[in-house]
Amino acid sequence: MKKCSAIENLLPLYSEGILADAEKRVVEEHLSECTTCPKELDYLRKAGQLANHLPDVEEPIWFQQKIMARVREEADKKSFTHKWFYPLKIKIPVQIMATIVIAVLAVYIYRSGDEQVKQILPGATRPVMEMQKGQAPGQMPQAADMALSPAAPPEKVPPREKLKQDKQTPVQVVRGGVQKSESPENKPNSANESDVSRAKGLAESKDEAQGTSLAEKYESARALQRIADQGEKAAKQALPTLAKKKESDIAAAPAAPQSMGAFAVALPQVKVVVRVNDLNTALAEVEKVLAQYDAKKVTKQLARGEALVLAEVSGKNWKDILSKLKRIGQVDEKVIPADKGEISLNVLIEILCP
Amino acid sequence: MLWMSKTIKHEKPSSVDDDLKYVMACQNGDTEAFSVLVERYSRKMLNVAYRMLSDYDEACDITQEAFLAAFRSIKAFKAEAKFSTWLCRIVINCAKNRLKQRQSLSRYGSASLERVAAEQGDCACCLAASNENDPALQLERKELEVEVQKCISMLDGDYREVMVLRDIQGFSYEEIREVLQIPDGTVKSRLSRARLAVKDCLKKVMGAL
Repeated sequence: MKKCSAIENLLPLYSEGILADAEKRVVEEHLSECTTCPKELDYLRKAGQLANHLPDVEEPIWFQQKIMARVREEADKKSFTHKWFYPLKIKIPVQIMATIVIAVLAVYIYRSGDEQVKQILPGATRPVMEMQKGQAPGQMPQAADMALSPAAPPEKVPPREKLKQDKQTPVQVVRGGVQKSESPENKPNSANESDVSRAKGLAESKDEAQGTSLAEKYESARALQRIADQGEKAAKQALPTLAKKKESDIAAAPAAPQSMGAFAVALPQVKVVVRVNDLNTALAEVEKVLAQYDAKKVTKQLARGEALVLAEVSGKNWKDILSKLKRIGQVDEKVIPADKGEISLNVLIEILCP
Repeated sequence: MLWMSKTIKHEKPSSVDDDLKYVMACQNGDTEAFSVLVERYSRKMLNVAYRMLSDYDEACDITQEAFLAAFRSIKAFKAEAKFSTWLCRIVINCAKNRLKQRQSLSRYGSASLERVAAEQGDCACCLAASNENDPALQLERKELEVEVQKCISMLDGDYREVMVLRDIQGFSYEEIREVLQIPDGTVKSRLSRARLAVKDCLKKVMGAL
């Protein structure tokens, strides 16, 4: 028989019935022979009964609500930290990506928009833009003067195609404006009217865009145009500068389409150099020819060894006038007019005598 | 078998199955889903805490802290154990920490807080479940319960938790292993010693049981 102390440790588990069979048999054998251990087992059972029947305590009033109040308070703290620190993880990369996307889009739109403008206004914008690039705003009035008097810096004569292109777009636009202001009796056709309105629109928009200084320049150009309208008096004021020009300068003048752009208002569309032996005779003959073909606003300027004649002739007569001029002397066409038919041309004839 | 009587009363399987649903809702940020879990387990956890601490107010405090701790770390719950087991482990740990604090305080205090706490076991709430009509029987019963609680509170924490979980709250051995994270043999040996200690205590206090 085992000692009671060895069996006593097994009694709590024996009472619960979780002992292994071997241990259970040993305990049962001991209990049948021992007198104290069954009493201890009985005490254990009673103690267990008391422990098992301990009543549950009740929750205090609002106990669950108090717990949930603290939980909600904790959740609010959590959301507060979430609100302030969560963006650091997520929003900064999102903001960086958004900035990059916006920058790329801005560059793309800027470039595509530039191409579209070029496609829509290939001729109109280019001279204006080039003029803005090539000249400082303060130089514009001088350019206007140069436009009236072909005192452009010496440059190579541009190719004919380029010249045509330049004339067909901006100069044509300007010419409509000149016709309207200079000769109200020569009513322009509908195309010319649209040209006039477009020219005004362009001029106005350009003024608005470039501010006061450009507006002043445009006013000066219009003043020059008014001078040309007034006839001889204004032409005399303008022509001395022309008379001082050399042939190379005159030839180079049309080669500066950049400066001609907006200030081509007062420029002759046709320039011819006639080389003669007798200046006075040739000048008289030229005047006759111009008178024969109903030239208007004929102005002339004499200088040493050369004379300048400015006139407005009908475009359809220009070929005949040119053939007559060829009889007077050796004709050199510096600016060849586009085929304009009925439209009047401003003609500058320079008579040179060696 | 008297020691097995409480193993039968256990949480309903349906509520256990539903626990995970509410836990997942909490993990997804639904704070109100936690109220369902509080409603289900607050009473049981309060009783575990009370039997561990033998102090009703402290048990209420510890239960609240345990629920709060569970809510804070509910995202770490991975459904490897039942939610009730996981929650009970939190309550037990909180209660054991409180016991340690109490012991450290009692070293410097003149009166034993443990004894004071044991004497407070006769709270009105303990009698709420009593159905005795006879006042004399009620009083006798109350005294007995106080003595049993005193004996339990005399146990060391490791023995106390095993006895509370098994003999008072009726947890299965498997659940106790999960809650206390100790092997089955340790659970049984601790339980055996705890029962013998309580039996001796009661025999000493009350004479012949």
